[in-house]
Amino acid sequence: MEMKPNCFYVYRHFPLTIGGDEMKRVDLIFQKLMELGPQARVSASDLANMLGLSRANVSSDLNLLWKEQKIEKVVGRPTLFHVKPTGDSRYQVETALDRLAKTNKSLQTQIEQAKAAVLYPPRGMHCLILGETGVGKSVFAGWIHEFAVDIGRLSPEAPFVVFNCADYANNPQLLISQLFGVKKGAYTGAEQDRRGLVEKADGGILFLDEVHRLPAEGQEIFFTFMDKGTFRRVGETEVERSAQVQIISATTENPESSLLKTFIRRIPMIIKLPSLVERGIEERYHITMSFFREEAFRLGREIHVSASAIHAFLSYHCPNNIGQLHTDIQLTCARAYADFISAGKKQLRVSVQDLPHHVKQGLLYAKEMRPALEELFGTDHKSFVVQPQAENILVVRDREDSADSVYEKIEQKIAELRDQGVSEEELEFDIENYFTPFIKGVHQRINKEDMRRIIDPVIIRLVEEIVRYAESRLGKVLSQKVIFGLALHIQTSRERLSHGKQIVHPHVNNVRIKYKKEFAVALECVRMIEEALLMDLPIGEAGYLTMFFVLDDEEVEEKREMIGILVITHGSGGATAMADVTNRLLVTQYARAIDLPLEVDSSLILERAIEVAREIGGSAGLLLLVDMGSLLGFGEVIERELGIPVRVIPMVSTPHVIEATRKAMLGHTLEDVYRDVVSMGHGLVEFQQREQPLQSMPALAIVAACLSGEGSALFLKKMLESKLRYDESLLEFVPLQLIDKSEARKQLKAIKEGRKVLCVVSNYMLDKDLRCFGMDDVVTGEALQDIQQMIDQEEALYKMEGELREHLKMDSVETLLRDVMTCVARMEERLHRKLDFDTRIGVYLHICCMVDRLKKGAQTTMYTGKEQYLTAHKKEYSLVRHEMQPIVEKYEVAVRDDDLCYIMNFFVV
Amino acid sequence: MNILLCCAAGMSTSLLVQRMEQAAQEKGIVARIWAVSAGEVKQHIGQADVLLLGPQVRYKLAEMKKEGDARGIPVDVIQALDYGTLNGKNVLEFAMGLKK
Repeated sequence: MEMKPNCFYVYRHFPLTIGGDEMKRVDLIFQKLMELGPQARVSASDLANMLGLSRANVSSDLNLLWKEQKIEKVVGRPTLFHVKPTGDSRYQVETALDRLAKTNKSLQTQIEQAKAAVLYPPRGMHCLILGETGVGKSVFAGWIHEFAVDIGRLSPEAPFVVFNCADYANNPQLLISQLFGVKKGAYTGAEQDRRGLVEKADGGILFLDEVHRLPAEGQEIFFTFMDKGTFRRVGETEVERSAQVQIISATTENPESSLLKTFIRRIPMIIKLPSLVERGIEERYHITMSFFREEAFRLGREIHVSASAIHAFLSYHCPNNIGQLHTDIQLTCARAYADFISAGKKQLRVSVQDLPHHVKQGLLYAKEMRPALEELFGTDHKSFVVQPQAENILVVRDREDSADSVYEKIEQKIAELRDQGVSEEELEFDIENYFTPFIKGVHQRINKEDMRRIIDPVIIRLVEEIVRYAESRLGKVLSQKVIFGLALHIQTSRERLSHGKQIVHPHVNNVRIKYKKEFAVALECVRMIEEALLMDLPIGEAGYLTMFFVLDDEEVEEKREMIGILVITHGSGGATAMADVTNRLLVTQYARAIDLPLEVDSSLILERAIEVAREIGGSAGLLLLVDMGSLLGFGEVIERELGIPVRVIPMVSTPHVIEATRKAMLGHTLEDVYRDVVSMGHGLVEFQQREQPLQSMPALAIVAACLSGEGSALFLKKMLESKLRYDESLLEFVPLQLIDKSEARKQLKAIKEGRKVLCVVSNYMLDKDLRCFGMDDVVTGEALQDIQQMIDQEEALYKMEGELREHLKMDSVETLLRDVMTCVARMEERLHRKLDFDTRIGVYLHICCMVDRLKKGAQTTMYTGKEQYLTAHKKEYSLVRHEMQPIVEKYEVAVRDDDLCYIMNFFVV
Repeated sequence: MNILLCCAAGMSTSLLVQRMEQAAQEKGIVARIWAVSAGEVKQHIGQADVLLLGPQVRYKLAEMKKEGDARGIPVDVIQALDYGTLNGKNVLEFAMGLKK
């Protein structure tokens, strides 16, 4: 008989892990027999050989086991032994997980983990499945249940209950009652006792999907249940119920998040499922074919799939993993089927035309994949024939929205249209759009969702139109990269134009001559954009659009010439998330990220940053995008360490990363990319530039600009110097030449880099983010008071930092003030109350002192009327508490409600 | 002279107190300067010649003024710039100015 060496692999190891090394000989023998399975018949000497034990000992142990009725004996010469088949006849049958392991080598570890989790005595181990959307977490959970049934750990009737925490995340009460049940009369509407899912899952498995959405209220109760197996229905006080449930939870989230941390402490087994990309091309092939087989089986007929179509399925960008691959294949088959019956064809054929647009784009990458594809199935394959046999199909629990119904609907629709006398040609209706709602989770254009986050839907629609038009005119498929780039470009162009900024394409004429056809198409697209956005575009715009259509063909020349993009931010996950979104949108792995969790020392991160910079920097240099704090200094260190140019963008947000990466991929130089990203501007940047060392120049500046930079600017500078009170070590006046406005802007940017520019004195608007005073106002003295106030305020903040450093005996005073400022700014925003400058200064000082005192262990004065105050301002309380959290964590202070009350006072008046 | 400072919880002004005491010493002025939370003012105001508020509790000014007026004690808010930079000298001068 065929042995399944993997089948009980876990038995070999896991008793050792739970029982220690001192395993008794008799147990070892029993275990070996288990491992061989009930069908294997072995003699004592066989076993002795296998285990390296003496035959006599083995023989006596075997007899002992037999007497205990643990094993069976076949009398003969020699006498043979085997374990009893368990109650379930499927014991020796290949289990679901074994079938899975065969074609999915990359899941080997995960499958072993799953088996161990099921077999762990006495009732299995709770586990957590991690993985991106669509990698098959719930399917895997289903397999675990099946396996448990297959090996007899669970009875065939054992329940497998699925619960998606996200469904009730906004209604914790309902969630708890769903999970644990309700006692009659517990609340209005609870008209009878109701069992919860936990009870329904008793003796089986409860699958908790999206467990990170389990609201705080549910967590405690749930943890108790996980720890003790006991629970109460909502409204019950007297009875404590118990249920034996193995919990399998799943999440797409980073397990480092706070909820998951507490969760993970209770879950010993974490199974991480790989993404489709990580599975490799060979497995993707198997998965693709099995999905086609599934469809063939549903339709009950052969499906012929062209080699190119298979290539596309193996190569296209599929961010939502197997789930998406599955729906894309269903969609394709649905379309092909419609074609098949409407045109009365003899064969059900799937060719490239039937593929959804984004799948077709896979052919653009298929070139790179060719060697791997050829290795898989040679070069001469024209098409693949998929037989409608149930064999080898990994049909798991069928989804409620079965694909069968889609085929039925197609048939109905076609019959309907025929009845209406619609001709054959007209029957070629848009299956994709018509049937999409019937197939769960279909993503028409994969990245649309991502795109929506940053791009105006109007522009998305417009770009889709442009792409359709350009593709038909140019006779080629544009890649997702280009489509997204185009959308972003149009969006930024619109913004630029609406701010009166110009777009000049330096080489429009060259472009026009070199790419006649594309340019003509681009001109038409410009017209489309003008119509849709109701604005006039300069001719240069056509030059840009042409480049989008052309660049897609041209591989970016030399890799070494390209600059590196590295994102580093505080907190866990921030940088990674920005880089991920960017990479998904641009279909690349270009942007790199490092997270700096609060508890990690930034010098460690610096080392990693240097490492990554070395890898991606090259001679073209590196663009570093960071949020704030010490990270701003990283650029300089990296530059010194590696001898490559480094530019730093502070206060990074996702659009910055996308724009930088896109430009970098097009081979733009470091300076170009840097300038571009800086010109996008950012939101609240108030204090970040101060991080720069103060040594060489004052941290604050006021810029005076005139045409020559020498005449009136110098005069203004002198005048301001004499009329204003300020600290020379902190503030300086900088004259600026204005003859070329764009040059002046550039210089202003350079000035802004090292310090905070308070305002500009000029008759031209140079920077919309900066307050600008006209020369007249300064000369007449009107503006002086305002400027003086700005100076006073900024200087006060500066000096405050110095004073605090002296007074508070803390190591991290510098960052404390800054953290407090951030925290106060957030409270202002969340509580919709803008503090005036004076109050804000006081509040800063108050909170800094509070942290200092708490740090020293001093008590805060009691807040009189605390209870009453808190009840009256519940919402404010929770907001303030939430915003204080980062400080509480970073400075490790226990902020009490009294402290919070004082802070709330500033905002609640 | 007795100067009472008041802020939300009496914490941040206590830093200022040190600075003011220092400034007073330098000037050879004998002054008793102490800080309390807004809630404690009533118990202390009787002993003070002047009451100064931190800018963050400016919203209490009206209320405090009432207390002060009843006893003939001047009440005012400390300049934010002086407060933020813990400028003891300026605040001391400010307090003395109010008293006169």
